[in-house]
Amino acid sequence: MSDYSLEGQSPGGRRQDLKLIGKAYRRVDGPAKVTGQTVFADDYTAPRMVFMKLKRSHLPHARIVGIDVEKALAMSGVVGVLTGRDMPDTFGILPVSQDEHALCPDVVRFVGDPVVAVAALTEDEAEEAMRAIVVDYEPLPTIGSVQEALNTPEPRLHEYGDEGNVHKRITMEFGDVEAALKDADLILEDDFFYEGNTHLPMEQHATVAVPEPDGKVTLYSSTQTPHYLHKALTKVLGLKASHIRVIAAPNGGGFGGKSDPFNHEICAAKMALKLGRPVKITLTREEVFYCHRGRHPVQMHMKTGFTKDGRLVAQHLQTALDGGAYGSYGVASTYYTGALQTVTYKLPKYRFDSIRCFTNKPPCGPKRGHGTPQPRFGWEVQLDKAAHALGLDPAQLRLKNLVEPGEVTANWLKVGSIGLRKCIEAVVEGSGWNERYGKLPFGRGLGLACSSYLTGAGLPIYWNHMPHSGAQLKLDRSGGVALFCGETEIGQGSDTVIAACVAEVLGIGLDDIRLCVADTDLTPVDLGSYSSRVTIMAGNASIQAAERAKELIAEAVAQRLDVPKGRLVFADHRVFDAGDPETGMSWQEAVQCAESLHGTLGTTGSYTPPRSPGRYRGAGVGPSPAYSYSACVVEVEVDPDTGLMRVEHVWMAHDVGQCINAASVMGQIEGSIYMGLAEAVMEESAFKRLPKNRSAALVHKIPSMLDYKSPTFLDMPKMSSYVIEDPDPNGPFGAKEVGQGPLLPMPPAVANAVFDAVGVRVDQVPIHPHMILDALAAKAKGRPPRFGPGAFPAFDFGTPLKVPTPDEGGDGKATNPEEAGIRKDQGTMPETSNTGGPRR
Amino acid sequence: MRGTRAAARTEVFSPHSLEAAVQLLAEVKEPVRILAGGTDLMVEVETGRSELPGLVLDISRIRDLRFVDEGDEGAIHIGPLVTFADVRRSALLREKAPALWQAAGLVGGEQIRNAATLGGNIMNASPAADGIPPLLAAETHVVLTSSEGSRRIPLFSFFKGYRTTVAKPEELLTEIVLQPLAEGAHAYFRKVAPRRAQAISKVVFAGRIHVARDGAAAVLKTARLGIGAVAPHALRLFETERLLGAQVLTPRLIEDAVRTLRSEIAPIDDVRSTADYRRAVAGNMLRAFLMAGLTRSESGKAGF
Repeated sequence: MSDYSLEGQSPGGRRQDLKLIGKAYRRVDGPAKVTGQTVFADDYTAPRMVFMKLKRSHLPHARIVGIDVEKALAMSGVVGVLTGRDMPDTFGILPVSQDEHALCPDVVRFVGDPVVAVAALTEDEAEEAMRAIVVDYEPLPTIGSVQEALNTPEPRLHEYGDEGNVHKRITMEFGDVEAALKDADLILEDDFFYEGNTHLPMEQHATVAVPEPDGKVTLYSSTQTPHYLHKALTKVLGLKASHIRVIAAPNGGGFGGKSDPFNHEICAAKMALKLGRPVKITLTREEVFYCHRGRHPVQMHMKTGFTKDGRLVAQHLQTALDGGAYGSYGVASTYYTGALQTVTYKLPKYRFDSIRCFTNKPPCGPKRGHGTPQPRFGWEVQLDKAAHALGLDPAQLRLKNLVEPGEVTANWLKVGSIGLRKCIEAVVEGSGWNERYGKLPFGRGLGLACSSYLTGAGLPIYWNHMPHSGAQLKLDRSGGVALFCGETEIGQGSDTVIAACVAEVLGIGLDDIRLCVADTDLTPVDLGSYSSRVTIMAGNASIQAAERAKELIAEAVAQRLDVPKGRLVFADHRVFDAGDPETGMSWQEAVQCAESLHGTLGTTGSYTPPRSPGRYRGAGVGPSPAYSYSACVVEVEVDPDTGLMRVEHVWMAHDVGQCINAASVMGQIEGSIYMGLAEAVMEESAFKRLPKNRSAALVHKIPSMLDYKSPTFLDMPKMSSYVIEDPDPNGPFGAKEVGQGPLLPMPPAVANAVFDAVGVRVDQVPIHPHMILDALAAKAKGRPPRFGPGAFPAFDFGTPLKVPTPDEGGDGKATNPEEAGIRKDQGTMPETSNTGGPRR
Repeated sequence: MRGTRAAARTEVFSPHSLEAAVQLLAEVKEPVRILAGGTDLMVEVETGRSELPGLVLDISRIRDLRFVDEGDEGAIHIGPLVTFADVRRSALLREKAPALWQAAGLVGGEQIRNAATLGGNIMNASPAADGIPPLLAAETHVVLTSSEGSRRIPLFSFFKGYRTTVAKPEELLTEIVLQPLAEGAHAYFRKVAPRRAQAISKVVFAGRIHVARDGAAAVLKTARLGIGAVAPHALRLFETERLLGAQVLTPRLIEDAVRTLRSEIAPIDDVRSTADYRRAVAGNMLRAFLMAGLTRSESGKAGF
């Protein structure tokens, strides 16, 4: 079904000096996973454990008038209940959006918002009791879309946010865009829409909370961010941080959906402390749809100028995000819908405006690609349109505009290595693009798109000067090495990455390393498995710890053998003299040597990303130690009778800097193709309103896997993957991310291929068959051959924050921080979210 | 958050003979649900769409209801407990009922096809059932049996409305009788769904046409058309068939037939598709089928 190739960017091909790094080898967690021995959160059990269920709102917006738990408490097996009154403090992943309660005290804001927690001796009894709880509501008006949110500033869903039901608004300009566009030969203006969708991990969220005899509590949870969950628990439970221990179980898939602290986690901890018994909750699949935090639905207006030979002049991008009921990562998501427009192609002037609105739907948040697949879709489709308008080949148009290595972009992001040229060349050659594009029979087409993504966010979620990731090594006379690191294995292979980094440096095998990870009591802090940060940050921290251990051992061995330290080589479980390989000793002897000289052996390593040159408000979102690059060609077959589309073949090249484990890199590329395909052709979180007589509620059309359609094996295309290695100076051994980037070019490449196949544009995803038929019908009637959204919502963003670009001699700071956001007719800015969370 | 739940206690009666099954249905006063493959019933109960009653009649052990035979008169007799996997394994059905055979390979996924029965597909009466349009195009009759005896009903008049049939509570579906594809006739099946497996159809269409050559002209001797997911229940397209019957097949006739079909169906907007899309695609499928018939007959080849 699929094939792949590994290519080095350097003239000599792939690096030959590495022993393990870069090769394809078995994962350290592989045997347990394939034999069913991995202990996931739902597998934990403890004596006297009880089960918890959450009573969730069936209304999308309502005031809680009364809660009757009497009947439930009298039921067989029931041991306790919690309501909002038990946990009055708010929480949220971002300091600026502390807007969630573990249980809603006064108001519910979406269907699925939890109100009461109940625990019983068995899961069935807990469910029966949950059903017996009666909550009286007074329904409130609901908001179902960005436009409705703008039309309805009052009543507000939250008492904080930039204005009305607009949670966040942003306007910033790098150089004078309108002036630059005057010199453009071609200006394209397009409206695009990217529907929301959800992560659909195989594992449903689960948590087991265990109270300790001394008043402490331990939580085992399927979370991608044990550190941030720890913070939220500390805040809501009111305990000392050192009295709460969070252990992230290996996640059965995360994709961003387990990155927020969740109601059920906090309730489980509180219930365990209240009852003095372990408490387990495992969400149903339906509840996972309510937790959501998935891809934001985003409407976009994109205006871009080109010269007639295809060079980019300037872009003005506007995005509007439907945020759902809570803040979640939304402020960051909002910035991300604009921040990375500049790191792929050289965009000399750039303006970005965005709003995120609150609606009565499950909260949106980060999903693989976090906020960037939406503008990437519009950007790459518009480039395809520009190539057609200018009579240029879409691949050539992109090659003309590539960002240079080391460049600082118009919005002050510093790019490192960039292997995109090689990526484009690989997929152009692999797909036979030059011979076949534009020449296939009607119904068959090729489409090309590129992308880039961050390798870890440059800033932590809470501002501080501490490392983003830490690692600790313990070595002893057994020859075994224990590696302690806060990173969380979510299926992406991060356990193997850190073990491989240590094994490479010390010249030992993966099986010599004992891992202890993702435990807030035992392991150094790692911020979590999000933003593609683990390989670069935990990897670099592990390398540093290993280098320090190597130094201790080298010192001892050099003394013992009377060989200069610099000549010692660590390889094949030996430490030996490079000049005379016979002179040396086994790894175990070397460690014993070091333990004799230094005493007990232990080292630490840590990683903090480099400082970004941007100094304006909002410059914190977008910087990264390194950017990965992808290029993709998709071949589709479109049936003009039904509008059904079949993606036949995908050629995907990804610049990963340097593979740590080539097998995992391939897996991530293929997984990204799958998820990108899903978003391009079927997955969507769609909502409907019930009839008036049934409360007019906004409900999920499809909170189940029956109708939330995701591709099956049979829908997967043939995949040809190309790994491009252009090492980045900031990466561990030069490595960059691969977990998210290759998803991004899929949706636009599919849309571009549909155009090549049948000559119509679908300017939104997912592309459903009826959209293609509608566009074909429009074409047959002589109307524009397009299916897509209407105009961007009318909204006055006010004066943009003006930041001169590096080319203009700027210093990374804004020139008008006082004026930014001010509207001409107002003279003042309405209200800012600058001052922090909700006023309560 | 399931809506409703199983009754406190459910009794399951699993007879080995048809006689015992119909006897039970004749005697009990309370509502009974009949269980065959369980692929619809168990999902309904699990999702809370319906409640499991106090009594379930599990007919899956009645071996006599699982057969595929060619009758003396040429008709094909299928037992209601024949699974979709059985249909796929039948050389007879592959040759004589190719549309049904094709449909059977597209229902649900492998596991569903191993359990789900053709009889269950009919009795569940979903408008989107993939097995029903090919049976309608094959002029199928169904046999209903009670303790009083049996009656035979054409499948096109079996469905009363959305998920309702003319079968009485005391009756059991005991036989499905369809006509084999005639020598020289063409069969067609098309399921339009968002993915290649585990998908409920947006539109599902099946047909049989018999085209004879009369000099240069292609004469359509007969047309039998069945369609699903475009009305409260699966339809036999009688008006379209009448328009096409015994006519010289021309592009113009095909367009007339497409128009007739589009007015004969009553699709709705729902979670899976829109009425407009269903109407457009239903017509396009008929056109594709008839155009293929035209081309094939011109080239003198039979069969698809």
